Amino acid sequence: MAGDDVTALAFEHVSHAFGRQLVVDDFGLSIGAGEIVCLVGPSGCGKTTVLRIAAGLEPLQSGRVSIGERVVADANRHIDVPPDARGLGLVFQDYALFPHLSVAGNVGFGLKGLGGQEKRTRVTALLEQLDLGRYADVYPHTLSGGQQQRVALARALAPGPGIVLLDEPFSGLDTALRGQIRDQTLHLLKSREAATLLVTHDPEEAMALGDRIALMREGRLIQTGTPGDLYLHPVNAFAAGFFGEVNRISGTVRGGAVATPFGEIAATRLSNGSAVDVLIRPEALQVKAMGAGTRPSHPAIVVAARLLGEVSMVHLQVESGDWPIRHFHSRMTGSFLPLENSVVEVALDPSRTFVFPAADIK
Amino acid sequence: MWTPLAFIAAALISLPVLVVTANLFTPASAIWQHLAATVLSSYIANSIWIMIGVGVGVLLIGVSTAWLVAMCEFPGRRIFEWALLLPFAVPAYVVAYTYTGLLDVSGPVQQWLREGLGMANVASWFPDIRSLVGAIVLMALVLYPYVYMLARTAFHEQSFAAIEVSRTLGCGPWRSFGTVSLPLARPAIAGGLALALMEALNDFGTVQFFGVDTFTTGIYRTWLGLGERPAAAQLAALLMLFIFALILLERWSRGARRYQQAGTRYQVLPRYRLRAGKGVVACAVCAAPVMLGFLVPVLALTVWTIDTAAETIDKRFFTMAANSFLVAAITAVLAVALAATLAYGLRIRRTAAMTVATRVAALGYAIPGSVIAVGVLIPFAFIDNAVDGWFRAHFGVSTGLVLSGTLVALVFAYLVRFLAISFNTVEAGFGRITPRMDDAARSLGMSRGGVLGRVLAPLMRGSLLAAGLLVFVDVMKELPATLLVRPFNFDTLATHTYEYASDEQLVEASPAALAIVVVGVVPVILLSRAIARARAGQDGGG
Repeated sequence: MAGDDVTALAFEHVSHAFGRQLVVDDFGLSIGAGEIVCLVGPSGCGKTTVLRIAAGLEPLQSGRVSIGERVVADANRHIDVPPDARGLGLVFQDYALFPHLSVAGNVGFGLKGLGGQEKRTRVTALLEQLDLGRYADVYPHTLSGGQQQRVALARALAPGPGIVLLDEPFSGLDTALRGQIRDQTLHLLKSREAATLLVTHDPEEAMALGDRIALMREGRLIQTGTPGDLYLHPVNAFAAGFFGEVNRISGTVRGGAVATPFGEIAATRLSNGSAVDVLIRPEALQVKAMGAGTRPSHPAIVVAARLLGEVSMVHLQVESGDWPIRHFHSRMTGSFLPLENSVVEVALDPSRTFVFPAADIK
Repeated sequence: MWTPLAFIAAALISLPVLVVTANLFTPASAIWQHLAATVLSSYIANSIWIMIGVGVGVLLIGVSTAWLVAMCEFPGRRIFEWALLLPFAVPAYVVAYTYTGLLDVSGPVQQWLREGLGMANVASWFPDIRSLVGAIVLMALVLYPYVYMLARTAFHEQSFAAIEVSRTLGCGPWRSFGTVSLPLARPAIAGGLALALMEALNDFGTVQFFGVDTFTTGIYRTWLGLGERPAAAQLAALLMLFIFALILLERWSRGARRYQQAGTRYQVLPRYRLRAGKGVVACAVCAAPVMLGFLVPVLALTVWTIDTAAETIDKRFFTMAANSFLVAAITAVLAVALAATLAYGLRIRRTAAMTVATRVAALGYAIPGSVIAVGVLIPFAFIDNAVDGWFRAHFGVSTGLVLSGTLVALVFAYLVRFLAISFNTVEAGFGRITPRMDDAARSLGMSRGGVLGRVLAPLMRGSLLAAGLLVFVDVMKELPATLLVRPFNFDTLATHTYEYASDEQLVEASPAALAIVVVGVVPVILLSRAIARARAGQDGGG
């Protein structure tokens, strides 16, 4: 993370409605210079609207947006700098390459006030950096999806913007290509030290790219923090569930703790008798094979076990006790494949188990 | 900046329509009473007869040929597919003059019957082409392509499944046509019918020449002959009522079409193969309108032009041709620029007010040229009088007519009438470009004007060109508005044709008429190329 103390882009109390429907609700976020922030959330949560407001493509209805020290939009003071005067780089989901211009023409489109020679040099250098040098004179429709994506990125970066906005930039690519293009994009953005706001619906993508992640839902900002913060310290059940699989089990707080089939979990901040949801990440359930003749303290029966590559998924069934659900998933590192129908011992890691009031569930 | 600009343009273009409509609510004058008592009932009766007759005619020709071409396979089908559009190129008044030249007492047909076959009293039984029925037949011959074009597309796009199902349920080709195809295509057919009837009501040259009194001839005579401008305006307003009914029909058909096309995937229908006798009949049914509506008049005009070229193609002819090209070119360029402004304003911000303004501005095409002429001349005369009065009062000089009777007034009238054509074409062009293009260019530092000039315009060069061309050709053909609004002694090919024909010099009128038809063929070629492209896409290149 570079230069957190200098703010490059800031939203304060931004709200936006389409007709009567509030799509962004009191949104606040600031992005430091050189920082990559991923704005993530389910589709329709208002994240793309936030990006369009930042770019000036959507007129601001309430709140304030500033770029560096400069206020570019303030609903109270009726300031709304048009998009062409904001100096932002923008990459669209469908790339929006100009079909009537060559690749070089597209990349050089935003370079104004430069001599022909200097312009060419800059365009060529950028294309070389993205392995597109050969395609300078080709028209966009002849390129593959991945190449088009890189041209769109080069076009946005060519004028040297301090801020880059990307709207679902990888969603049009097939899975095999996506990881590679994503890496390349990350390295390029880092080398340019531009502040970046990247909108995505894919939590994995957000964690792979973001210095920080901002999680949105139904127009509201739910949580902001490093990928680790969101994964390890989610503020509610939605955040916990969004960034990874969870085993969900409802329960009641008794004596500052909640009972689970695998032992008690502390819930000191919740009052006695309140209904709660316990969210257990699969990797919090550590499975051990039983030695012969030993009696397990938290037993479960293996329903199925599958190797998924770097991890193994073990499906467990809890036989004894009165639990609302009996089926659990455990994720073990490496190849760990106990026999089906064998009885195993399960240990619970409380650092990857979260307790939230039951009302929060959705 | 763009939104107010577009709004002003839309307001300006809607002015004549509003002026004429306002006349519906002004109190009736004395001359109006007189008109109402004498000629008004025949105007209304003739207009209704023309609508009924032309309506039946274009439906018979348009639907039958469209169904044959879209659903059957017979010799020459591929040629008829585009050839059936050719009568579009011939204005109704040109067909009227040509057929009169061919069929009247001194024409070659009656001459041949008399001298070739020795029939003495041909004139006594030969039908008079210069009649209400004659006008109806000739108009139907050149206006059926509206129905043909829309119906053909509708038949083409019909869901394969729906017709298959009706066939498996035991309907023969005729019953499945009546119970499935026709009802499904009905909105498209109604839309084509509405357009054809608007053109029929717009016609001035044919009915004037045939002595059939309708609203358009009434307006012309009341305005120029009697000099009774308020009464002419009221006639125009009354004609607008007919037009509004047709606009409602057309709008309804569009709405129904959209509904019909929701979410069906189309498959090319296997055509009925018509062999031997049936094939010949189909061929004849399609050949007849092309022959009568295009080939015969064009052939006659060509022969007459060659016969008279020595006297008729002189300096005056080229001056008129230049005049026609000049006003058509100016109008085309302005119409495209204006359409781009309006459509771009609408693209930037689609407010309710903007939408209404552009809708009204695009209404002109439905409205007869004579009505628009009245709607242009009234406010222009008002402005001229005001300017003149002001200059007299302050400087003691008379400015005379600043706007009326100038090319400004003429071009403005054309713009009002034909803006809709360029607007629809340009808007369709915009529709094919994703708004992300605008956003991308804006984020790269382009102003709104820059986006239009450097991104949108190059991307839709084809649409802009087509829009300009369509307006150009329609201006070349336009007759009633030109007659009423043109500057003194300003002749175009259309007015020249009209004037020669009025003097019964039908043969001498043919070079100018032929020139109009030749230019008119250009958009027909464009249309048929668009159809060919669509077909190539549907057949998967085959």
